[in-house]
Amino acid sequence: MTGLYAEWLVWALPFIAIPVVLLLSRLPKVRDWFAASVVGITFLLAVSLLLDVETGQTIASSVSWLSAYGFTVTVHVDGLAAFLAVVVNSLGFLIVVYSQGYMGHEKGLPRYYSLVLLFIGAMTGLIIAGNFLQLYIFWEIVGICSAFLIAFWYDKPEAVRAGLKAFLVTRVGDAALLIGFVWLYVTTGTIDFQKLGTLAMQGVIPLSLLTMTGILILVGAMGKSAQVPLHVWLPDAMEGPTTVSALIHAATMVNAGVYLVARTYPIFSLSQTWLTAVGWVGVISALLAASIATVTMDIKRVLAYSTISQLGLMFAAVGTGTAGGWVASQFHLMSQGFFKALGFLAAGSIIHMLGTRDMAEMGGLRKRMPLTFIAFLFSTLALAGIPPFVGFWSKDLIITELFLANLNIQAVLVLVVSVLTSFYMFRVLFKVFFGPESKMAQDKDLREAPKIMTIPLMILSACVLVLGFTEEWAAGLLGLEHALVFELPIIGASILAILVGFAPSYFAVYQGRPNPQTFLQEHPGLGSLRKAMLAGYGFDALYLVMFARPFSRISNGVRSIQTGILAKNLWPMLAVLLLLALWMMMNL
Amino acid sequence: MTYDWTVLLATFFPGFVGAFAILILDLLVKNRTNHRSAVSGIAALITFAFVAYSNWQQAALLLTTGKPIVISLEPSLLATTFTITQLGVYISSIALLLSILISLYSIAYLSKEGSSAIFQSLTVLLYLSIYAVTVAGDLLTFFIGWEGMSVAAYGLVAFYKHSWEAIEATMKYLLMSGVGSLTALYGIALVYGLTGTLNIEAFVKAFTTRTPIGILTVVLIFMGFGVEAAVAPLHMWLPDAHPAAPSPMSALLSGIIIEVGSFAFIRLLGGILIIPAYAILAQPILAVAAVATMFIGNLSALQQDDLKRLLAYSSIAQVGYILLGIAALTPNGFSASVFHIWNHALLKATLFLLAGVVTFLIGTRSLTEMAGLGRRSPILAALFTLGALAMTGVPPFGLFWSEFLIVLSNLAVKSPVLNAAVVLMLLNLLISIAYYFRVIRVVAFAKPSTALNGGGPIKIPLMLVIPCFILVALSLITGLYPNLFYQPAVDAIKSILGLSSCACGG
Repeated sequence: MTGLYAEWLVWALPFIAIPVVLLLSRLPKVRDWFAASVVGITFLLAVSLLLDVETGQTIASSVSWLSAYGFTVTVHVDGLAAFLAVVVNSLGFLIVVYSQGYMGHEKGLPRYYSLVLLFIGAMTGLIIAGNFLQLYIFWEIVGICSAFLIAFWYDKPEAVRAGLKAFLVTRVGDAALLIGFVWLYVTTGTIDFQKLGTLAMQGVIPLSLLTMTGILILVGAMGKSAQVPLHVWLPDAMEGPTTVSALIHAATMVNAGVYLVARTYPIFSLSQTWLTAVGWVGVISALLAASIATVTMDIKRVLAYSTISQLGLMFAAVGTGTAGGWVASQFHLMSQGFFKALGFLAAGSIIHMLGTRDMAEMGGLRKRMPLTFIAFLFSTLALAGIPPFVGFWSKDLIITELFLANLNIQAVLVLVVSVLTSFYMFRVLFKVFFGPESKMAQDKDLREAPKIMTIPLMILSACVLVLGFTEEWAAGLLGLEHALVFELPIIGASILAILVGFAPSYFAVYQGRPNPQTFLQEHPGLGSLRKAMLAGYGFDALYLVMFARPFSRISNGVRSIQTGILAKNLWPMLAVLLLLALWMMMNL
Repeated sequence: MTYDWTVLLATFFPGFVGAFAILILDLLVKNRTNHRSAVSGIAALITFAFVAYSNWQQAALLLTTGKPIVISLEPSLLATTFTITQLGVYISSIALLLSILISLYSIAYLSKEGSSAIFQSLTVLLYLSIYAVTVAGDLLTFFIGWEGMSVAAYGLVAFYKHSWEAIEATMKYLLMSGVGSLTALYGIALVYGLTGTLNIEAFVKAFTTRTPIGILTVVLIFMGFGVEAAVAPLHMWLPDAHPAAPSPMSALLSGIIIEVGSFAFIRLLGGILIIPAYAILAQPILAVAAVATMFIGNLSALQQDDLKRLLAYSSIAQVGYILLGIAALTPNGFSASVFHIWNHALLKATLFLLAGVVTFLIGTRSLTEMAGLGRRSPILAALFTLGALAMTGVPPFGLFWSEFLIVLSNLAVKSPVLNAAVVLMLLNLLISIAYYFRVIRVVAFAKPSTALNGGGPIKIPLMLVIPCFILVALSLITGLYPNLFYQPAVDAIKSILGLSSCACGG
């Protein structure tokens, strides 16, 4: 298939298609299906790439770009890149199809579809990039797209604020990433992933430099993948359309960070400090986010915190420093992508039909929206990790690899995350679909979402059911030489964890015994913990005090010293001249 | 290689004749047509066509020989000398491009003003002065060109001569710039006293060891030209001058005039500053000045409501980035700065011209009052979004590359001061996102202000939109094919510093 230039077209096609989308604004139906079919084509191209590299070879080609520094545009497709390209484009395709229904009546659709195409194209470009600079450029484009898509409903001030916040917070990480890879470049003279990997293996790059630059690049990944403490943008990003949330959480954006860590793993894995840092960042994020998800009442925010938590598991898997852990992280990325897309799109059809995100307004929707219920149920089962859903396989692999690498503390903490995950997902399921039918649903005479939305849901449901069985194949594709390990005690432990989480959810939320309200009043300690969780452990408040306020204060100060009075304007100049004159007198 | 002075005359002669002819023509057509601004504008464009042709010839000559074209009126070290260098051509080409687009834009923009002959004529003279600065081979010619540029700029800032704002701004500009020029002149006098020559190449070579008087000379020249370059704390004239001037003039002022100051640093002082004895002192001072300039610019812009003043402060911040590139004191750093001048010129000119469109349409510079304008003119919203987004330094626009290369060239120098400066520069980029996103939000997306509420789509004269479109497109092209505009900058710096091989690639 090399004659197709698939490795170039797979990311360039969406970029080329954008002008067409804009030109087709008079023919909305044609435009929407054109956008969907472009992503469909890139999905097929990604599949063809996957078939090409399945047996272990790589496709690479490059053209010169900035000759003074010898920078090139390099496409590099190996198992990892092809695997992720397929994940991104398949999910992207389903989400764009679903958008036809979900976004059907919105204004500003040319903007929506062109940004979505740009988003998917840039994410694929990021994955196919063969060097740091190219990755960084796509990385930034992904960031802009997410900011503008989150702020899509620009009449809502909170949406605009959330878009800006996403861009600013991830840019903090981007700055670290930039310094990290430029630093590597000025010492080694290359930005190419393969060359850097070889140099690191040969021991040419000093270990301290690897650790420092590795951690800087990790900070970049934390920004995009919303890891603590750079996670604050993701829950707010829920202000965007749900399809955008699904894109950000499943197909694009947040996967970029995990991908970057996986891509640079051959370079930095020599540094034990780096591995430990990656692992702990993941474990801490997973725990914090999962705990917040247990109390949130906004259905989308629960899913958002759950994403942070699942991404944390991927970081933890990379932190094992084993090939198995590395594979586990990417397999979980795929798994998370599918069940989270399913979760968001199912939540999206509820929001679309019911018009709220507050779970207090939902309840008993099972009968009125049976297909959506099945979809959300599958997503919950997969996210909680119940066999044979895909989440079971990928999460089990992570826990196994953590134990095999003797990272017992981390492994136990991940099991705790499992308990929390099971609790908060079943909590959502019970609150939304079981119990008495909500007043809002009755008032609005709630119905099932249209077919254009339920069909993608059904496809995704089928995927989360069967994709787990591709684990061995995926491991081979990603270059794992030995067979995967399954340990019965670990499988038992993770199923036990799910049950431990399920029980309180079932009794407290579904049956109301004990009643959650009275239970919290009887245990004031839990109540204050709940408050802290609802405030997101105060990260937002801290950043407000640490950065936002001081900057506006300093800004006012800087403005007040510029009086615009001519006599004062010349003072600095006179002062410098006087000092110079004094200095000259002392020297002559 | 020495050439005849006719090479230069081909530029100066049509230029001066044209500048004069614009005024005469305007008098001739005074009572005969309602399109006086079109007549002046077309005359200016014709003049620029001649000038551009001659500049093209010079550039072609330069490229075939590969060496600077030296034109000396007498065979003496004191003689008036012109040296056409690649660096000079790079800068004057930016100036020419902006001048042409601005002449075109002003035809529509100033059509309500009655006569725009003075504006067009001064724009031609301004370009000729910048050209004179870029081809000057000795300090005196350089200074004369410089003063010509300043005088033309004063006139342009004071174009709305009946408004007090413009007069006050011009007075500030004139006095501060005058003090700067005198300071620089004192430095030039010292150069002559120290080295016995005013020839730029010769005096740079004469500075080999560091002496107190040598340092004084460098500082005086730096400070003198630093006023025009808007290096903090000498920038105070700029935030007043920009809003008061007509928008096309602001575009020129911010796009190229203040950058000619940075060009002066590289052209006159570059060769001296990279001498290790000077570098050790200059590097930290330059880095501190650069960082201070960025912070003052960005922090002042953060809460600004006057769009043009906001853009003016942002230009100050950009001068800080350019200065940081110079502070690396390596050929790569200089090239990055020169490349940044190009990228910044494109985008800042775009934004000022767009601010001009807003003034043209609804007569306000206040962001609160222009809120929601974009809803009634999608083209304006799109251009504003692209321009402001590009100014925050995101790919795939050209500005990303030059900022990236400034970071790269500074980190390549193993100096803690420069490394810290890079971190602060990245922090500044974050601050600039905050206010540029505000601009995008307010202009393109916000709910219409009460004054703008209701009413259908607004039509904008094409002549106001086309220049902005060309500039944004050029920025995008630069971002996609950075080689196209970066390689000339590298070659230009190479030829200025007389380096046979560039120490590129870390």
